[in-house]
Amino acid sequence: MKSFQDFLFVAEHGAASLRLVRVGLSLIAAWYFISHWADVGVWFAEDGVLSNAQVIGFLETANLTSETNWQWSPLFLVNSIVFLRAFLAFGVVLTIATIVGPAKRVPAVLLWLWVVWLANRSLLIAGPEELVLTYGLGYLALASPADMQRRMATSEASTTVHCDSWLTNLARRLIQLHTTLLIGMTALTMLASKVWWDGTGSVAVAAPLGRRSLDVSEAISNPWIHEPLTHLIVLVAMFGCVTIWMKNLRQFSLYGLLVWCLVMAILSSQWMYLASIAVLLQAFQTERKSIYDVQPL
Amino acid sequence: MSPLAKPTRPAKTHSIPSQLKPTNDLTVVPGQDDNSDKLYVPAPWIAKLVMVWVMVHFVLCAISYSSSIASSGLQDRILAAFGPYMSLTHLDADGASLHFSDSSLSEKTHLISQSSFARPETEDQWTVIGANESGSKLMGGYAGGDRQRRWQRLISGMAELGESDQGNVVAWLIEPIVLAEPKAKQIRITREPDLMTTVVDDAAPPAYTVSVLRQEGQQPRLIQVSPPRLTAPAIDRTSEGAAR
Repeated sequence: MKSFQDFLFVAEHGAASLRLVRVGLSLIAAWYFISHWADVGVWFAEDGVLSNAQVIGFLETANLTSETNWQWSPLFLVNSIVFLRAFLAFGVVLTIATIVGPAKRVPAVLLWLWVVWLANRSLLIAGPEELVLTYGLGYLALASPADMQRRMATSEASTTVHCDSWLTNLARRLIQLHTTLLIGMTALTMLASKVWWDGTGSVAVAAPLGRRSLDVSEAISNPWIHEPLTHLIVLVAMFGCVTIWMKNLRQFSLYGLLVWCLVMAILSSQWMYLASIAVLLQAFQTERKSIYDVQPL
Repeated sequence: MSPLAKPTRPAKTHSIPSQLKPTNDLTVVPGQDDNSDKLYVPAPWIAKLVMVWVMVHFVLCAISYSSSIASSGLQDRILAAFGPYMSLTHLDADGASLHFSDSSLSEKTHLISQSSFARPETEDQWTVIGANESGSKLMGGYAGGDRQRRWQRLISGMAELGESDQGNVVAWLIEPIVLAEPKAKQIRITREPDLMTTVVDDAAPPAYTVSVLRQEGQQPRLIQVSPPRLTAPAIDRTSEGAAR
């Protein structure tokens, strides 16, 4: 129990700042809001495909009302395109405030709420990118918004060391745990399907998107390419989420998983989802000088 | 141990090693309490509470993610019990495809087309909604982009419901599309062939077809068109038939 407590609250040796994760995820959140801009009226306005009336009628006819009772969002209460666009614009402002604004927790919490509400409103059209963005921004809202640095008297005159608050350490651990859980579950759920065993999984991911500008399905149609690629995709996900916790293999696993994200993004075109995972994996970086590394006077 | 010796990391400490206490020269960036060890560990009761929350939280997330393939009754009941927590925070995977592909028909590219003919007979009588020449505000974005992906999720869900004889459910989702396409007399959802589809898949009838009946001053009425059944000529086993 004590070691679990240390694991959650005490800074890991040389744990990197969450600054990069915060900036990266905020930029992706801005991308998320902007990607909704053109279609927000087509989806959620009064005559939209997913207007309140249509969604309620659909859920009642399909007997799904009880299952979606708690998928609440204030956006269910409005159908004006002007208001919906103002919501998106304010979301973009929040991402900027989180990156360059004063180091306060309020913009981070609001940004998380904004993404959760838009994701909850996107009933039937939301995907895994919303899942990753919401948990990542939620944990970042927990963390102390500023990197705490202390200038200490040491044998090298003064040295800046980093000693984050327990909430920041907790946020870092939650991001690490959740991201490895997600990658691990991805590997496990892949194994439920035959295509990830017979070597055609990589083609199955790329093939339905044949009309896109970056079409790789023909390029990997050779079995000598797509079969090893498929097996590597499963193996990297399966072992990477475990070996990234081993200190000796951490950097190697981190780079392996980043390459995995890039390959999956090229194959599936799910750039927002995989960019979010790649950013969250940065919580595993260890580069800073820890308080235990400095030599006191 | 000499105070100048490099300290090793204490295994079970919750505070800064005493020899590393910040001096008067310290600066804290930005504006935090300058010499409080409280920053490094929570109070014991808070720590216990947080640990319990972390364990429950990750068990629920694991159950939700594993349900993306198939779920047991137990998983469903647990997720339903924690519905407020999982749904309000959008932690529930809610069937999101984490495994990228299982090569099922539902993940193929779906096309939604409209025809201004009451009984279209040839392919050139259909226009794909969202194609450049269609002039429709629906199905915007480029293939593989975020906007198209949202349309694909909706249309693929509609196709699945249509195939499982839940046309009345699909009607709620297709009605706004019918209203946005005033000339449409039939609307259908088809799946685009790709490298992974078989000849049988490619020859399959549309996943969902609906006829639109429009009358002045009234909401259009939708009638689902059943896919043609595969038939074979009856075998004539009578003596006359055998003779022929």
